[in-house]
Amino acid sequence: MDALAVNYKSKLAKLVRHALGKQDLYHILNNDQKLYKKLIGRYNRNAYPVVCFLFGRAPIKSDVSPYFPQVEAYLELKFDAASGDVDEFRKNMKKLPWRTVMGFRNTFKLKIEKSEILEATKMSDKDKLQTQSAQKRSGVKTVRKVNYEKQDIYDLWKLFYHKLLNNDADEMDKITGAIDVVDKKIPKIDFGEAAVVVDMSHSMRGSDERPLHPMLTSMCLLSTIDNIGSVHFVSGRMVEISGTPYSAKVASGSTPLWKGLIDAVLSGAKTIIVISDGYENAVKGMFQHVYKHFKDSGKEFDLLQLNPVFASDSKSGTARTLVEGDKAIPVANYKHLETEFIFRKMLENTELVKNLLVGRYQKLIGR
Amino acid sequence: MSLLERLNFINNLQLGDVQSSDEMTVVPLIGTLRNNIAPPEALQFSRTTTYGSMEFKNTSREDPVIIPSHMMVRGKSAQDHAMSGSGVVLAASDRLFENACCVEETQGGYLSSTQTVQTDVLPAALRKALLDPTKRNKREFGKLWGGIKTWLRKFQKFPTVSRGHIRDFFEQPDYKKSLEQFAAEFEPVDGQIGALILFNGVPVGLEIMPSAQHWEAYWKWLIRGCYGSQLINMKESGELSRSTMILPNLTNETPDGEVEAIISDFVNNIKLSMVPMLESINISSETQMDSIGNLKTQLLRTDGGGGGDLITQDDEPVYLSIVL
Repeated sequence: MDALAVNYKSKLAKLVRHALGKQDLYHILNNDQKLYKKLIGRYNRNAYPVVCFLFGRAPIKSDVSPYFPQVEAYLELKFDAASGDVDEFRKNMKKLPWRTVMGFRNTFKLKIEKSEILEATKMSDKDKLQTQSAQKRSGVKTVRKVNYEKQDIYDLWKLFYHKLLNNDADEMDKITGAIDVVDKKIPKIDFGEAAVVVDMSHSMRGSDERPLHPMLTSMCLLSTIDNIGSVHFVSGRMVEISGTPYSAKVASGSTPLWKGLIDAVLSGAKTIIVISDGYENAVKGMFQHVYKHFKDSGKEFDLLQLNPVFASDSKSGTARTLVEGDKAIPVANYKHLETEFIFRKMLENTELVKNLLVGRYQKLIGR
Repeated sequence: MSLLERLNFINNLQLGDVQSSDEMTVVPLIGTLRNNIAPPEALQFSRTTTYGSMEFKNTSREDPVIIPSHMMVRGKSAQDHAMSGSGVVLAASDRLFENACCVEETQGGYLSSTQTVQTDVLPAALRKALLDPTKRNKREFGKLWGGIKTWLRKFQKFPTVSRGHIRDFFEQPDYKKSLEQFAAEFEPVDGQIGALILFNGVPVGLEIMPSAQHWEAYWKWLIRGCYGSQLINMKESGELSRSTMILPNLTNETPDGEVEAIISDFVNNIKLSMVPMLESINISSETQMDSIGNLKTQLLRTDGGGGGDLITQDDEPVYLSIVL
């Protein structure tokens, strides 16, 4: 718990303030133990010093217990930083996560190299992965080793595309290998034999806040779907790291999704899954036109649109859709595909939803 | 003289696949980098020094930078401003444009580079109001207020508006949402440096940037601020009827293997039908507005009351922005 408090101090403080309200929080911080026990203590009776820590209150002496060494280390390091004692800071920083240490370094303008912090502080595997470029830029002697196979597939794809777009082939063999390994471990959902159409147009690059997010989610969704007969990428451009075998499509260009639909229907698949933000422009309405044509001419297939983007009109719980009357399923995180499908398609796909629920139940009871 | 003849580089351009959403069609123009113009990130809006003056900085040490035609800057607690035309700033220098327009009639205060600002291009109808060279050059900051009020009154939400505040439209939540959605409907394609824009099949604008990098940076300002806003305005005032494209006929007898070819032909035919439209744009007059370094800015007027800016570098066209 104290590690979380140290790592996410301000975020957690905001959350606790929001959950308790200003008045209750005020009383708790002023040692109202009865209220503390009622609201927090019943979940963890020893957490009082951590709550005090979150709000910058000095913990009551007797409460500073060895249960929270990270809090103690944090306060100690803050003291070193505030008093400008770089030697002590250097010694004590090893006990704390790199973000916290870097925060103190910047706030108190300490004369200590970034590379030292990136080399010596605590880092999870995910941190190591996320700071790879920063480590190299800062000039660390050795970049910290990452166990790629323990990473989330989203983070692996993110790293893969980051390296691809920066023409950096370093460790790409390990990353692509890990993608294969992790892909196999992800529980799959069987929608029946499926052809998947993936929108790789410009809008799938996402926003400045979360660059490439829709495209990365699409790649992860491919790992979540079982029984894929064929994948049809629409638009996009090939990017390669010159002189290496590493290349992939990157979102780019317009959205002639109808081309993908034709290929998918002609593949004979009974389920066609379209992963798209629903912004069709080449030309708008052509997807539905082709869909209707194939349906009218007796082709038997089910269409399922997964939308990895919460569009401006999706605040009301819907995502932008390609075929009128056939609601898209918003899937901003690939891990939520099964849950979203169960809740949103309960009435239309009763049989499949039933099977998914049975599967979940069996997993729950360990069969 | 036809516009295509005047733009001797147009032969090097290719038409991309047509993008269409509701009443608006965008035909991408694909080409290569032209001459030596600084990348868009070299352009920085610095401030408004007085009402009607906008200052820009070029951070590039090598090349001049182009300010897109009728660039508009909006910020809180300051009078929003727009350029009266395009602009050029030489390498590593600042330039003050004193013929700019205030576009927020009753708001005081100056814009500065330290505050958060929103940037766009003026709506097409207001750009047309600045095609008269005398009006454009005039140092009168309120020259667009009347035009803004007339433009705003065409919206169902502002029938009796009494102030020339263009942000009333751009900050109105429903219109803001529509514009964002509109921008998301269209996408730049690889190598795109410009576009022909049409409403209900009629050309309303032609935009060509110096490079694909410039198009990537400015297309949203154009699609959202200039043409998207104009489309909503014309639809709400009834000047533009609602329409949808009639899609190719596919019957139960159409063989599966021919569906793709039929649609591809349909899309290609739309593309081909653009060529005569481009060829029919004629220049009726040409006025030199600016000459700085090796760049010249001409104000072109076209038959039918349209027009806009052409910038040449060593007499080679590098930038064109025309509303029709």
